[in-house]
Amino acid sequence: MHTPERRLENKVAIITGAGCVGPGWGNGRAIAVRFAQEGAKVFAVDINSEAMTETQHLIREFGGDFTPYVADVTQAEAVQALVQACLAQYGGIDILVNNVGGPAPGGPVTLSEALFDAQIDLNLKSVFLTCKYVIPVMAQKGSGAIVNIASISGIRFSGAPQVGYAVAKAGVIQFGRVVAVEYAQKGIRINSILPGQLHTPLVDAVLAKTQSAGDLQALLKRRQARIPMPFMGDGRDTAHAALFLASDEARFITGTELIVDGGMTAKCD
Amino acid sequence: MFRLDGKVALVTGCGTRGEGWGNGKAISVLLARQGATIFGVDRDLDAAKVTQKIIQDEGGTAYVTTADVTQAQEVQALVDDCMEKWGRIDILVNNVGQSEPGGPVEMSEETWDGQMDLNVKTAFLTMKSVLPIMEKQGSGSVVSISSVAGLRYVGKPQVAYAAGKAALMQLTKTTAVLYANKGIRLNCVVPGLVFTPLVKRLADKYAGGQFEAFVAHRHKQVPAGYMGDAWDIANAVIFLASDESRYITAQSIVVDGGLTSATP
Repeated sequence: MHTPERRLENKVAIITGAGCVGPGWGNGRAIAVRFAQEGAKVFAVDINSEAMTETQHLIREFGGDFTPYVADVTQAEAVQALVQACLAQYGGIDILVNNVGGPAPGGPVTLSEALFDAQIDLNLKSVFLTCKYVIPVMAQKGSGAIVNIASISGIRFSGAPQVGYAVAKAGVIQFGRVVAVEYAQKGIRINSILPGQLHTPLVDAVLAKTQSAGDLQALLKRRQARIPMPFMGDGRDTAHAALFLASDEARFITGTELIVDGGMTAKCD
Repeated sequence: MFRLDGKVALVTGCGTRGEGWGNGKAISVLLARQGATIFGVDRDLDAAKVTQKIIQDEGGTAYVTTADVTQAQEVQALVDDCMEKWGRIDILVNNVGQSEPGGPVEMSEETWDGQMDLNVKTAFLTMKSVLPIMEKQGSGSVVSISSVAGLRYVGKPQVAYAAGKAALMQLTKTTAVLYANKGIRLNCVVPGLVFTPLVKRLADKYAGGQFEAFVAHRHKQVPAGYMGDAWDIANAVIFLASDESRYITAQSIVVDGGLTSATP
């Protein structure tokens, strides 16, 4: 039972949201790079082609296997097409990482109905759709690992009203549990990672505007104050957790969650 | 990142009684394979020595000793011993624990007290002696082995074990917050139904010795259709012990093949 030199050697991994809104380590980019380092063939999906350029550069630099693919994973036909494209390129699918998602600010009064619907589509339906078309491929092979990137916002109020995002992420967590039980006998494992308030490029590029009127430093200070550990993690921490859950080291782990939050959800003071 | 070279790991319950791979044995051997130096303790020195020999034969480094880790002085003595021998403690694995049958009516008060001592107080005592060392080092990872019995009723009455394992998880969670800004992480691994040499003794204790029927029943209880093994537990321990989990603290990783996600 030696841990192999490369932990995902020759495994084909679909990673959605594999680009990044700015320089640095977003979850999707970090997952794509870390998986490729461990020998995975990365089929990277993003709605924005340019966002994947740096991810591709980082992976090709060390000779990793990387195929970028542009798709909107809230659309069923687009998801079907991307699954076919992955099968055509690599001949199988061993790992699916559902990393697409993003918050919109607002409680039930301030969030528009259209935005609420869009939040559910982006954060939850995207997971339903990729699973709908990937699971049959995995079931036929009798093995597969699915990792959903949820959020601690799915289990706590985390500092700002974002009700659409929160309920969608709660849905992702429960989706993972029930589908895990349904497919346990078919060799398919499904788990969720719940990142806490990491310092990813999303914070600088989006949340500073939506949650802090453009004042990034004030936002970072507020976020750090909620975290017991003296630093904010980044996308690489999510990537290491995803790597563990996607690998055969976790072959008996399914239907559960891994919280990566520096202890934030362990306290309520 | 996954390597543990240069790190010292103190593992309680490092031996397996009888043939095969129990959790403590697999955890110790896997930690050593990743490069850690092992200080193993078990109440059964012969069992500990089997683990030590496997590690040494593979080219690893391990020292083992015997102690009753429900006793404060013995815990302090073994921690002192480890410091004298290896000079530091980077990883503490609390693997001691055992279940006794019964609900509150059937179980004697004495058994209850013994279960609390074995399943919770042992971790309290090792933390008491080891955390100051990790604090001085500015880093450390504590991994305690809990059980799904601390989360659910799992098919047999064992009220003290269940309460003790739940307490172990909360001891871990609250202590993790207290030590989060000192570079020390504390987490639990929560095994579900796992096929280890212990299952034979459980069959004697809970199923009148009907070993094969007991094993078949346990396999069927798991959504995955099979019990895990000690390596599944050891893999999760290694992850939590390594720097790859540097931002994970106060958590429990459930390793149960989907058992606790269903109420069939």
